[in-house]
Amino acid sequence: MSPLTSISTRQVPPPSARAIEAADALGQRYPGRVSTREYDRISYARDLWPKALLWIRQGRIPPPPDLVVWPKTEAEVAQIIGIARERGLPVIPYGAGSGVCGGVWAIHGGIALDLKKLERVGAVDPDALTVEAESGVIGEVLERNLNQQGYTLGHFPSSIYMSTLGGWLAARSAGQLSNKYGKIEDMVRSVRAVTGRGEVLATPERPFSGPDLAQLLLGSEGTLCAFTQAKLAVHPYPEHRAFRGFKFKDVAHGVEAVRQLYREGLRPAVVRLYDPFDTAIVGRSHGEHHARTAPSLRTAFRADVVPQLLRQLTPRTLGKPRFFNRVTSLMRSCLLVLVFEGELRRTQREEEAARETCRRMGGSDEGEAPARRWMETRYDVSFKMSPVLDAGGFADTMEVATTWDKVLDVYHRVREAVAPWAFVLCHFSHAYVEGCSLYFSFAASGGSEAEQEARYDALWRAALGAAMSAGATVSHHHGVGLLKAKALLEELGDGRRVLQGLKRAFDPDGIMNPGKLGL
Amino acid sequence: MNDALKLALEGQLGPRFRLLPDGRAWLAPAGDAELRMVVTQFHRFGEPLFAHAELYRAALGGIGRVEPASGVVEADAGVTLAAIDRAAEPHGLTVGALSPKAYALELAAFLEGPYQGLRPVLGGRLEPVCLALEAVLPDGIPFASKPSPRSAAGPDLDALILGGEGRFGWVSRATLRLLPRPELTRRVVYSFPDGALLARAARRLLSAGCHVRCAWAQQRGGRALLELELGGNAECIERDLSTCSNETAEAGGRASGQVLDDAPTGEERELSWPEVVRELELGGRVALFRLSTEAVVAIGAARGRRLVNGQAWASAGAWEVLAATLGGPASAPSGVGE
Repeated sequence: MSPLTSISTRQVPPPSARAIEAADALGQRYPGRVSTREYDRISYARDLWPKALLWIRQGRIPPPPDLVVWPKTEAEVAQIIGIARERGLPVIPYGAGSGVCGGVWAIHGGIALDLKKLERVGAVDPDALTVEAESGVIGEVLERNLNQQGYTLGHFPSSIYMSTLGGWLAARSAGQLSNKYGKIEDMVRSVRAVTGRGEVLATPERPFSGPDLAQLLLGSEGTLCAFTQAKLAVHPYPEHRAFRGFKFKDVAHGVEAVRQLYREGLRPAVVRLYDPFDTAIVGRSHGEHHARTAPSLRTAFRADVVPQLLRQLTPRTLGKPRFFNRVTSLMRSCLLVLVFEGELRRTQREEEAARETCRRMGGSDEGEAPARRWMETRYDVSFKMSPVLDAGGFADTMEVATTWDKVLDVYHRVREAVAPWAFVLCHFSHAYVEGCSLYFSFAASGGSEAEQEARYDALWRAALGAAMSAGATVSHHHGVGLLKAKALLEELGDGRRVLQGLKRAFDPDGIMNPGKLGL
Repeated sequence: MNDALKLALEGQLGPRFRLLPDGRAWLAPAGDAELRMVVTQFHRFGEPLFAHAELYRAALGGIGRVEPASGVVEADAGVTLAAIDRAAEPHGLTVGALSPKAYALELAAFLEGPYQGLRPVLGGRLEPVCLALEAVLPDGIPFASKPSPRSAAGPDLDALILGGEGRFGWVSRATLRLLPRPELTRRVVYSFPDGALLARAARRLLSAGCHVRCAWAQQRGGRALLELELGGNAECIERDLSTCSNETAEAGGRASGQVLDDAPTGEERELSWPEVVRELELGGRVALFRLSTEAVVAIGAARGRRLVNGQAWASAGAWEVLAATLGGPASAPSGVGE
């Protein structure tokens, strides 16, 4: 099978009669900003959930929306949701489509509400250290705008070039520098959103009485509202960065060193501890950027012969995960990457203090190179999935979080549970005083496309089951979508009634992104 | 309050039920099961518990073992923050830099009430002191969240209970995240041309990650004075002093040898930084706690949000809808939308 499968538009079901009526009504209000074209609907049918990529490789299309609308203002968002509500049409808020959990699959059709035209970024308030931005702005554009004003948001998810502020809010995103700046929910001062009632909701800024309404909306993945704007905390652009890498004799010593750094009041911007297998892979990267040639411009050798070879080889490697996982379990040494940033003298002192702590915890100083290398290649991970898919395999990631006392147990149990299904590696990042996130990467291959999909589902059941039984939450920053919906309901227990109550309150007709979060 | 409900509660609680002079009930459940029973009875009779009763949870008074690696501890609703802090001390941990009144509160009151369960953390941010909650929902069903440093598993449902004054759930127990207890503290005084520059410097040094435990501010001789109490190990304090001196200079301030007047007294209020500036401009002096770049808890302020239950909530419409859909009281909460 060719890695670039053609998809027949004949597979795309026609829009429903209600949707066509809505498209007509919306088209009159927003000429040129409403589409029922098949290629638009196919484009908005999915995010980067690897399961969708497996489907596409099979020539299958995830369920598409009936139409796509591009509002420009909050008032238009409210009008569109109002029209959808009148007609009983689902609304799927859509940012840049970089989610990895199927959060935008239009399982009941409806309107894909692309918010990227809401892209205004205000001026930084230098006293309050805040900025207001609309939800459709692409992350990298927002950060660059802030940099030009002399500030940083400090939010650098690996999807920063292809994710929006609204997507970050909807999925409780975390950036690579969350150790210093926090997750997006730590940065939010207030939000504006349009609920499933079609009403604009503005959350208050401190000081306010009562519960924090913003925290009830963040992470709702479009099931309660569409975010239109947020006020965010910003920081002066860092004057200096300090880099340092350490090797530890095993995972346990590395984890303990990170925990100790936090106990001693240090807040590196970046903390990434790679498990032995991940260390071996990270150690091989040279930090040099090789321009990738677009598939259509590749030579016949690169376009056909190399992928053919890889497709034959991959089942013999990724297809035998149990054996290779056992081999990699013999590896021990772990790499810790630290980056400090901020004011010059403070940063230097923090880095010196961290060096002392890591040495005390048995770490060997690897100098600046590993951390600098990481910084140079930090967004490359987003582009590594395609080669695996081209080679006939699949890859995915699972990020969970727990407290320090359970971290090693979660690590070992997930590895053990996944070992029969996929290659597994892990890094520990997004650290807090009380715990951290564990970020597992899986890669597998072998068998027919249907068998691969079955393997994909089995590995996720095994991985999530192991993580939850060891005490981890089902997601630290990717969100839930369709992928983890069942696991979320299991995690919530009776608390699911509270979530369902929020749904009834903000979206009484159940039109907002149905099926996600188990709602 | 419904007579039948009074009879039912009296029958089941005995001396742990009393009627107060204002007609409300005083209820002191002996444990989790009785707390659930009380909430269920109110729900059955369609009466909003928060409006008709004072729920006294001192009998829920246990503190669990401090888990030393993660620095977390489970505590029951009736334990004071001060008691939890004392339990954390031998492990070199603390509940955080809170205001005097917050330390004196029972955990349930701290979490459900106007303090919203918040404490300051590095970077000028606030975070809930609880990692996870156990509570009884308005219909008597228990609720428990999963302890995790952060999560993207849907919205933060604990947020409904924090600051909710019992309208959406009553806390029975919580897992609390503790912070390293400072080994040393050090005070330092800076002088600024005016209150606005003082506030700018304060926010910037909080944003930079300084460990400020509390502060005092006042206007004197045409200048605004700020005294900071820094906490941490010796290295932390040295780093913070260096940052403080930079940020202060950036805002036109300088170190000062002046001694501030005695700490102000009075009730605690939550103030935005512009409100702090206004206090100083009007000649006030304030003690500042729970400092973040967003807001502070102050003693000595004449303005700002009073930290007492029953204040009007913002976004009133949203809360009315939520109260109606979450098994809460049949009528809209009395304090909402005032």
